[in-house]
Amino acid sequence: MEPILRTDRLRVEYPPSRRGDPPKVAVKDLSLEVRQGEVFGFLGPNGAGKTTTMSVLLGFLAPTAGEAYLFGVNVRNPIARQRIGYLPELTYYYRFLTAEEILRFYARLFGLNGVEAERRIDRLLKLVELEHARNRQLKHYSKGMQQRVGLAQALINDPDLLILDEPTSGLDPLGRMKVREIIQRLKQEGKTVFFSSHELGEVETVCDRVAIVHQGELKVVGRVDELVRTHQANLEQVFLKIIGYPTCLAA
Amino acid sequence: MTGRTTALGCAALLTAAVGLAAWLEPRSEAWRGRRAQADSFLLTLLGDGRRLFANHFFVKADVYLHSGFYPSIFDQARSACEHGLGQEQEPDPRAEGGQQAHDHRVHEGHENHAAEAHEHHDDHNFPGPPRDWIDRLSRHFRVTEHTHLAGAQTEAEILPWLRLAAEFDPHQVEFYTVAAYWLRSRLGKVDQAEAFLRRGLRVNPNSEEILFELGRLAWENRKDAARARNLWSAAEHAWHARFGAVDETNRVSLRRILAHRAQLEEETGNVDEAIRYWTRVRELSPHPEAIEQRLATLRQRLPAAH
Amino acid sequence: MRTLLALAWVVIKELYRRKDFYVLFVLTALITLVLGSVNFFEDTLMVRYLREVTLLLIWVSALVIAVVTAARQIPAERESRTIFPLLAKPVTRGQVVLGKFLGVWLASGLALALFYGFYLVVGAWKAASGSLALGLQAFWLHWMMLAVVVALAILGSLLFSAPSVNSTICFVVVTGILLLAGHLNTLAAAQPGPGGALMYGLYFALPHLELFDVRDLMIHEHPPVPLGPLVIATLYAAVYAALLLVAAWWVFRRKPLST
Repeated sequence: MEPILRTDRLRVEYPPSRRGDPPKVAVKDLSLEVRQGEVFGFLGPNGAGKTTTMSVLLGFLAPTAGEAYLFGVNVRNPIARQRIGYLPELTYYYRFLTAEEILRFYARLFGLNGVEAERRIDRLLKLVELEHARNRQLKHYSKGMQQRVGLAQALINDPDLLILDEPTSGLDPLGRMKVREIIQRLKQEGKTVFFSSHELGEVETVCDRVAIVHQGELKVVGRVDELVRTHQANLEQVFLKIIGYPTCLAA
Repeated sequence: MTGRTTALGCAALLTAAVGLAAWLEPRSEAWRGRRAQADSFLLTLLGDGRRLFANHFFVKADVYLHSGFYPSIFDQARSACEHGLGQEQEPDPRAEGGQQAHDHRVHEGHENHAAEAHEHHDDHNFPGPPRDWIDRLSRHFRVTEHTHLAGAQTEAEILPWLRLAAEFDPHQVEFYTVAAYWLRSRLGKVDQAEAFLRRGLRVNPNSEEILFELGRLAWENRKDAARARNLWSAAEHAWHARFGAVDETNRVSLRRILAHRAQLEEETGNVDEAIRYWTRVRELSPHPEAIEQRLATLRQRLPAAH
Repeated sequence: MRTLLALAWVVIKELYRRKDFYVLFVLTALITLVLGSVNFFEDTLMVRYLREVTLLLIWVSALVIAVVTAARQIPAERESRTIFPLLAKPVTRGQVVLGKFLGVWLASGLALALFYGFYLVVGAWKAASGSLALGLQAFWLHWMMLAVVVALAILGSLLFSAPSVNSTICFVVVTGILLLAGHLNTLAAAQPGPGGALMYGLYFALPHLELFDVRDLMIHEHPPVPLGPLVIATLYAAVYAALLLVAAWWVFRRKPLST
């Protein structure tokens, strides 16, 4: 079966800040596959290349070499993004629009109009518990409420693949639980979720498979339960070991 | 807090406020310094830059007079290059000959420097043939037909700009005299013209040009010969006080005052006085022969007058 | 087209929910009404000066609205990071440029319609409405000129980092073009050698925005512009706006967006 998400020897280099310096390699020949219906954790310390990889997948950056595909379509083609939902780490939306207007706007970008769009907006506002504030402009929203709007917009097209960049970052425990619930629910619906996170406990709870990257290189990829079993440790310890951090210090 | 305490508090505050005001007032005057002497808010705000605005508004009045048909500074420069500037027009001898052709030129505003170039371009077929397709196309979107305002209702359209020009530079007497001309001669607003001239006179006391215009208004519009005489005498004195001796730059203004005075005396039957003034005009005129003819005619009338 | 309209709709919403437009409109109305109430030599029939001032204020306001709104669109999307959820949708960068252009142009058109409506009201107040056909032409030409200005500001927003820098440069360029572009051929003719050739080059390369300024025709009650030149001017504006938008798209598609 064709993987939902695939990168083939993906390489991203940033131009040097000073003339004469070598370019900074953010992603080194990353090859990865995410299959339909799995919840895939993309892990790595800060600066490992997670966000850069996501930027390539979403078309924000052009790779220096290699290719990336969503649903078998090269990410350079905007059609590749027709069936995905994306929640950025920091959610900022048009502050002068209401939650309902923002969702309507994004629905239109997916070609949804009329009754179908309104039905989805109602359902999503209910899902993220923002029905009471649907006609309030976002500038009056708290950070948690804005994050929930972000989640709703990521689901507006009923995506088959959801790309979440640090989805629980900055959320209170209740908000995190809500996000976890939504991921679980999507998994039950057979959707594919690809997300990066520093919350390894959370990853261990919801992910089927994980990939750990460090300094732009893929260090390991596999099922969470297998990794835990093989290394005889929890995911956090496995992660620290793989990135070369002395586990005794961590302990 | 009791009512008495409140009243005492208010009284104390009032006393403090009045005391502070009394203390601040002389300091504020000292701080304002020369600003206090500024003759208008615009002077304080814009300084000498207001003259640029004033001149712009004056030119604007001329633009309005021609219904927007007006050369840009670039067209004027081109015209100057192609045809040469400084071709002084020969003065019309009739102007001093009592025909008042000079006085009643339809576009008295053209006497001003701003309109000189316009007159000049007029003679040289502004805007000329189109130079390229953009030039040809652009002519559909701007005024290319030379027309003048006609009739009291449209001619009044130039007045706001003259008024604004005078507001921005109250020391330019030309603004008052040109506006007064249009008000009294074309729009029949003699009182308005007089009020505006008097306003100009207050700011520019001893302006021979404004006194001269007031004299014209008194004579031509009110038929008040005595007042016109007084005003033109005052204008003549003001001229002497300002210039002293006659030279090429001030000759015309004195000649105008004397010629009008001579004309007034002639029309009111004071032939002696008329001869006296025309004789003085002759000395200043570039065409003394025309004046001499007039003097000869007057001298023939002299015995009859006596 | 659906995507473009959706993007444009956000820009229009932004314009009418921000205070800038209302401030400019109230200021224009206030200055016009105050000037209209001034008594010049007890004559109530003077109207051309009022037309001139109202149209000048409309031109300045429209330029401010168009340039400032266009200049902040893409930088604001990047600064507030709304560009990321936007580009994560099936939207190309070309569509973003075009949608933003369309939104600012339509929003400027709405603002312009209101301003010209006010101009008509002022005319009616002074019992001198002028030619309605010329008024409509003036609106249309003004709007077409704004298309070029908006495209220029959008291109500038991709070249200059700060919207304020871009806005200032746009104001200077547009004002310079309005005042000088039509005279460059005269200057070129007077200047022999490479200087003259350069001026001729500029004369033919720069968009002649002054073509779209028919204020003098309106103020002095001249007849409307013939249909042929009006169509040519419209096409002229469309070509320049398209060229600037292509340049903007070319710059934007090469710009990396780092999250």
